[in-house]
Amino acid sequence: MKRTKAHPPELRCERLSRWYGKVAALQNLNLTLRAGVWGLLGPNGSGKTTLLRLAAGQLRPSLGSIRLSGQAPFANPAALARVGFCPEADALYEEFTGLEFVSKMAELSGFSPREAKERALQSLETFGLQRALHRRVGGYSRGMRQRVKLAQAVVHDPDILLLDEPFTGTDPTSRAVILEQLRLRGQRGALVLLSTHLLHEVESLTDRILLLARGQVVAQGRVHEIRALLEEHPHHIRVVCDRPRELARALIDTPGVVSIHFSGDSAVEFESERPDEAYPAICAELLRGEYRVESLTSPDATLEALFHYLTERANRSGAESRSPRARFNTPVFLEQARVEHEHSEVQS
Amino acid sequence: MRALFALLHRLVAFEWLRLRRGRQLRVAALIAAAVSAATLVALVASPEAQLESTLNDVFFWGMFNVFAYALAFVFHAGIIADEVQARTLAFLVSRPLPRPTLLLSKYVAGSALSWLLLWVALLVVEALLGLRSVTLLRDQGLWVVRAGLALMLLTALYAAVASMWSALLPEAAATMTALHLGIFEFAGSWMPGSFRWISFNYAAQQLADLPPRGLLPELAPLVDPVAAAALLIAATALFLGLAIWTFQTSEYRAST
Repeated sequence: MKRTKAHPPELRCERLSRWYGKVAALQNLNLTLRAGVWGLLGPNGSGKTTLLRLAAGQLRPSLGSIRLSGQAPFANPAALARVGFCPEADALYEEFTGLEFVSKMAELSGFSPREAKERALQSLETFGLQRALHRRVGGYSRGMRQRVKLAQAVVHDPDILLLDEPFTGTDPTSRAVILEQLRLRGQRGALVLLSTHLLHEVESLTDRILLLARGQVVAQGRVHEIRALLEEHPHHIRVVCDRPRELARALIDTPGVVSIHFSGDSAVEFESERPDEAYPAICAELLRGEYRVESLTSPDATLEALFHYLTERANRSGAESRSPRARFNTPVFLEQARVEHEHSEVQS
Repeated sequence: MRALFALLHRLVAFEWLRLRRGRQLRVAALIAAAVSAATLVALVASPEAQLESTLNDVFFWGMFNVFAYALAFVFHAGIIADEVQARTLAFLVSRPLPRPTLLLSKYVAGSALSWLLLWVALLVVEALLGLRSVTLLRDQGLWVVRAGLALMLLTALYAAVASMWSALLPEAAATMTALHLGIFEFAGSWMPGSFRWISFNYAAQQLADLPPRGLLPELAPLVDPVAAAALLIAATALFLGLAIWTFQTSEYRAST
């Protein structure tokens, strides 16, 4: 099989928008991703799957363009020859065996039946499925199904790998295997773009991430900057225990605690600007007072909270200088966000 | 060109495996068995003098009005729709395959299986004819082959119609195929006079040299066999072209 890889792998979106009827899944996206592993993060409905499906040639843009190394992917075999796609849906050809499925996919990528079978064997082995080669995929477990989908995505050695929620349903062992394979491919010069809504999954694989919310890029940068932002913005800590008012009384003078709210007779919520100090203080008081604790959670320690925070921030920062439409299209680049934050701290 | 044929061959092999492993082949084989059994009963029960007319009945009802429709429905109504509903189409359309070749290969694989079953059923009919009367086999053997060729063209056309609806409206492919074939083809073949032209089934019957039936058969147009064959081929090309164009330009999203 002959393939030209004259151009390095690149995913470029220019003013990319996509609507489903009246619903905008992506709005005015501008980005360029080059070789390496990229985490695509965002809450449900943020446009991650739409972006991946556009890149995999399954959908066409409503406005703007998407290019894979300079070529539009929709119904374009030349562009798709470089793509490996692992869809999110737990759907497979149930009647095929694992080996049949992956080798047929390799054949459809242009390899001879013999070569395809060799590649399929290698690919399935890589993902730890050597013992299930001749079993029908209909009888595979969820984790095995996920791995066979990944095996078909990499069987033709693509240099652009698009993976939609690749860790869904996988156990820790499978996850380690998948992470290792993706890391290797990234090191070999492939562009790996994987979507997930869990930050810690991406964190162990790459430090380059792209945050989507409401169809827009709200941040693009390094994971540690995201972590820092999570720690910076006001943090809520909710404790359900037997004496919430007593706990609140004891912690009211804790540095960084800016407000305390009660809900019901058993829950108290602390809002803190310094979560790294607030957590130890709360835990120490709970131990000292021998409280009966039902739960200690943080509604903020999620990406959803961060997206909300970043979107609000983008809207605030754009309100003064831009038109209402333009400010919704302004991504917050993390370095810029950090500078703004430090600046505001100095002022205060 | 060689690469294109190699690709087509791989795709047909893929689709062939999918159809063989799926329920389609079992359902179609069941229908073929039912048609063959009905033929057996009709030929055994028929008096000697009426064997020829019984054979015409068997072909008119069993082959032209049941089997031809059933094959298209079983193998082609889900050609794209099944993949969309099962959400497996993503694996195919993200491969470096020209979409026309992808659809064409699915069409060819389904048609090959249809024709295989058709000729198995026709061989059963020939064998039954021979068992019932050697004279009848000698007199009607060639006619059965001619009817078989007409049925091949008709099933190819119906497959193209089903493929078009499958590519155009995957969420309602079975309903639209049933409506199209039911209204234009089945009902059309019973219409009086020139209205019968709307049905390609009637043209195929004429190609098979079956006597006209339905409403006012004496007013039904007589179609030249060459014209009937050309008509069937042209219509197949038209519907298949529409199916390919639709598939080339469409996005597919599973509704579930």
